[in-house]
Amino acid sequence: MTYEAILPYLPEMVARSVTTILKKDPHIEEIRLRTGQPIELSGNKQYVLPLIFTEKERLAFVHKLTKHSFYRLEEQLKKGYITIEGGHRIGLAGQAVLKKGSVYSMSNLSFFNIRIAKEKKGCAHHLLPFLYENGWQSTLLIGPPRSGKTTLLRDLARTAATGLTERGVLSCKTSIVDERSEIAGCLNGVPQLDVGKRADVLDACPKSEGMMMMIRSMSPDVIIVDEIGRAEDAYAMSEALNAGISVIATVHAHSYEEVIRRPIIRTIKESGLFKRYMEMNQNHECTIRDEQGRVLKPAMALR
Amino acid sequence: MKWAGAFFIILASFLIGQRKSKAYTNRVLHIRQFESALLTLQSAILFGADSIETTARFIAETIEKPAALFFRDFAEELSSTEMSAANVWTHTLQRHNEFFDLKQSDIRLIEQAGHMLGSCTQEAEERRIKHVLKQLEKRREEAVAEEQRFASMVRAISVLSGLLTAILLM
Repeated sequence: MTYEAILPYLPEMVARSVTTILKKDPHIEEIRLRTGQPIELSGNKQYVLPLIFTEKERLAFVHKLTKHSFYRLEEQLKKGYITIEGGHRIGLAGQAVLKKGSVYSMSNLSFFNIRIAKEKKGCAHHLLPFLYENGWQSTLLIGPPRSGKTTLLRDLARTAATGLTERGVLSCKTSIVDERSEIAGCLNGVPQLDVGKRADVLDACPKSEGMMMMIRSMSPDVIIVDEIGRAEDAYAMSEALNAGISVIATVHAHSYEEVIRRPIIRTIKESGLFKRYMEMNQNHECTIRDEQGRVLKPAMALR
Repeated sequence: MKWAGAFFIILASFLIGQRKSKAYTNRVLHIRQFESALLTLQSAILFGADSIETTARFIAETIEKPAALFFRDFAEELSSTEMSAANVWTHTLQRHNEFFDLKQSDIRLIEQAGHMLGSCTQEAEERRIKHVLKQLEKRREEAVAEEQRFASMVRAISVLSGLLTAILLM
């Protein structure tokens, strides 16, 4: 996905400066704008531009981002980010407005993290012999931030929903529960990123509730869910797994050993619901394990 | 020749009277236009469905001139500026001021409707627009009373003063 959709939101000067870097380095993942501070771009390399993000530019950016209609974004502000065309996400920080002790909205938005949505179509194809055997194996992707979990998850969702006849993968009904709008990057309910032909997306819905809703209403063959970790998530997942639905989920951890120390994941592991565990690291390598935790494929590179 | 001159004096004073009395009628009309526009804006904000720009375009298509022209220009400028909606509202209103038969105090009130427009929460926006609508309602009632009291009187006085001038000059 290209970065062009981001440019109309940026103040003119900022857009001109970041375009130069974005054209030069296609691996840029984030643009950080902090009021009164230089603009920062990061990916494989980090760039700090000799350009201060001024108060005037902050206001211009907020006006463009909200389309001069702050009231429209109240729900998104509670979550702390906005998804724009192209599936790019803009993380926000400023002054939290509390109501009855919980975050009601945000004002004085001053810090922005623009995460450029990236699609790597086909990056999961070489893993299919391990993850697809007469059907999708329920898989848990384990990895730290920026290890490519969500990118891989999206490609798995796309492959499951579209199928890959040359590898004998049939398309199946795929339900995506996208609590943080990261997998499909929905804008007004429409996926901005390619998640396949037979994918149904439940956007911005809490995972556990979302999984139960999808099981009841969409009769999926595969459920795709990002960043599990709470007891309710585990309950919903076991409901799905026991109903014969394959679940492909991600969890935030540095290793397999670390993740199974968590009581919730350990319980799921002991019940043998996940057939595959895939450890990923920031060097974009992965190790695949079976349901017992035995290594099936040691450290292979992710494409 | 004298009769022709007298006729022109009476005609001119009649037209001046017409114009003055129309200003009273127009004031009511223009306040009503803004009331209806602000009600549309209020519901758009309440349901959070459309942006201010989209709503302004919709308003421009549904109401009469001159308020329609104001909202069209406001929407146009919003789409291309980095300024806040409140600033754009004020600037557009200043530019269109002459097309309205409104008092300066009415204009200031409408300016208030644009204050902080698009930069606060739904609740705050709604409260502010409601407040302005209440004030506009009072202004409209006052304008209607003025129209009833003065519009026909101004027309009559201007014709009579034309007649008097013509008689004195003959």
